[in-house]
Amino acid sequence: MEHAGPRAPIPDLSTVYREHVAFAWRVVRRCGVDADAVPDVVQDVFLVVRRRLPDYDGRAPMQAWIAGICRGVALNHRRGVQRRARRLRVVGEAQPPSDMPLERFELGRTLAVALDELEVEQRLAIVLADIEGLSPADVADIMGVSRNTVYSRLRLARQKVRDFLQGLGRGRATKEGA
Amino acid sequence: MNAPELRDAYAAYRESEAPSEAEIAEVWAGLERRVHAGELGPWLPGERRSRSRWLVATVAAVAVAAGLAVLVAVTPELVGRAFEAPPPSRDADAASFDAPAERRTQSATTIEPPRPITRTIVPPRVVVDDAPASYESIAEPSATPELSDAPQPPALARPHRSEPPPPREEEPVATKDTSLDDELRWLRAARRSLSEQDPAGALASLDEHARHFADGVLAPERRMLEVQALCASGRYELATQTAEASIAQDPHSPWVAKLKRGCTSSATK
Repeated sequence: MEHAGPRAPIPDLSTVYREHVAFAWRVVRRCGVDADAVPDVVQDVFLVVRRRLPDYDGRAPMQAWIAGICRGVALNHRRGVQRRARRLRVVGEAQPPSDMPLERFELGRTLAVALDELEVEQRLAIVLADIEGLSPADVADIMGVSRNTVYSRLRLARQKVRDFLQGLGRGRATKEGA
Repeated sequence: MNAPELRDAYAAYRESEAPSEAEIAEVWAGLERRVHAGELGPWLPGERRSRSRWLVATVAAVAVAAGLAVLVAVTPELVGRAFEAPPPSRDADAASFDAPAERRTQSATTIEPPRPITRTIVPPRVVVDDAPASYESIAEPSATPELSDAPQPPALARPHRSEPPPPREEEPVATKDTSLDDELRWLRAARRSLSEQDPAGALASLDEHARHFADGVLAPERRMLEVQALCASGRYELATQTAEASIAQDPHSPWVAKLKRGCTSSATK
């Protein structure tokens, strides 16, 4: 079978891995995969990437394509795992990278907690669009919904994240004042 | 919280949620191991499952072929019997066949029906398997009609599973895991030495790793750590040469970026 036009050369797995592993790691984590299962799920993601790399046509950005795979693999994984009651994760349970100031690390972790408080679809929308920088059109493709739905989810998610962070700030101020 | 503050929080989140270099390397090592073992990864919802389709097509083909084999075996007998049926008997009292008594009393011109078929067809052995070789067993059915005295109806051939397929070859995962653990042990020792400002100890651990696992899964990480250890011991020129050689040897290593930074990255750590 011949292709209609010339295709861009297919990158090899190690290049794709190097460039997108951190992104896949974050997306998988925010899709509700437990921290200790993330390495295995990320491996699964890149096994699928390897298998489907010849089919990647370059129409969507590679990141969006990988995000779709991350979502599918994470959903598969979660189906196989006994659902547990949602719990507020303890801020600071992980260790900061050596070259990252503690305050900044805590800010990042706090946002992660705020994101985990959102519904999965709202969380994925804000993570992919606002944090990872994908276009709403790509996010709509990944999630299989219309662009308007993505905008609506984004609006709700942003508001909830803002409320969460402001509430946390007020709580700290009250604590320090007392 | 205003927009710039929120953007800053996003950036902090990306940094704090990124995997460490060691995690990246370990996931890559595991990924390579699974790729070498021939794993394809999980199938996603809605994904074209060529493998499953192949299985379904094989089973359907087996069923159709088995049905055809039975038809081919039975039809000539039916047709043959029809043509070889005894001629209309003019002597009703001949009664050389098992017709009911009332029929024997009918007119001598009555055409008697052919005798019921008393052949039993032994169904062909059909092997249901993924391998296309199973078609061979269908193409040449070993069905050999056997005559039987008992007036049994022709048995319909029905595909049945023969012996279960042989178990797949054991994947040598256990040994690989063991060697990976050993490799990790040496590299962890080297990292520990580096964090304790002991580059000589780190180099010794790395030499041990190289002696036991010259081309191990974690060899790229070893070379990166070697460069760090050389930098830490002040042997900048040798570190640069080692980094260049390492990049030339494995240009797709996940450590290339770090190797390119050379002693700069160790100085900033």
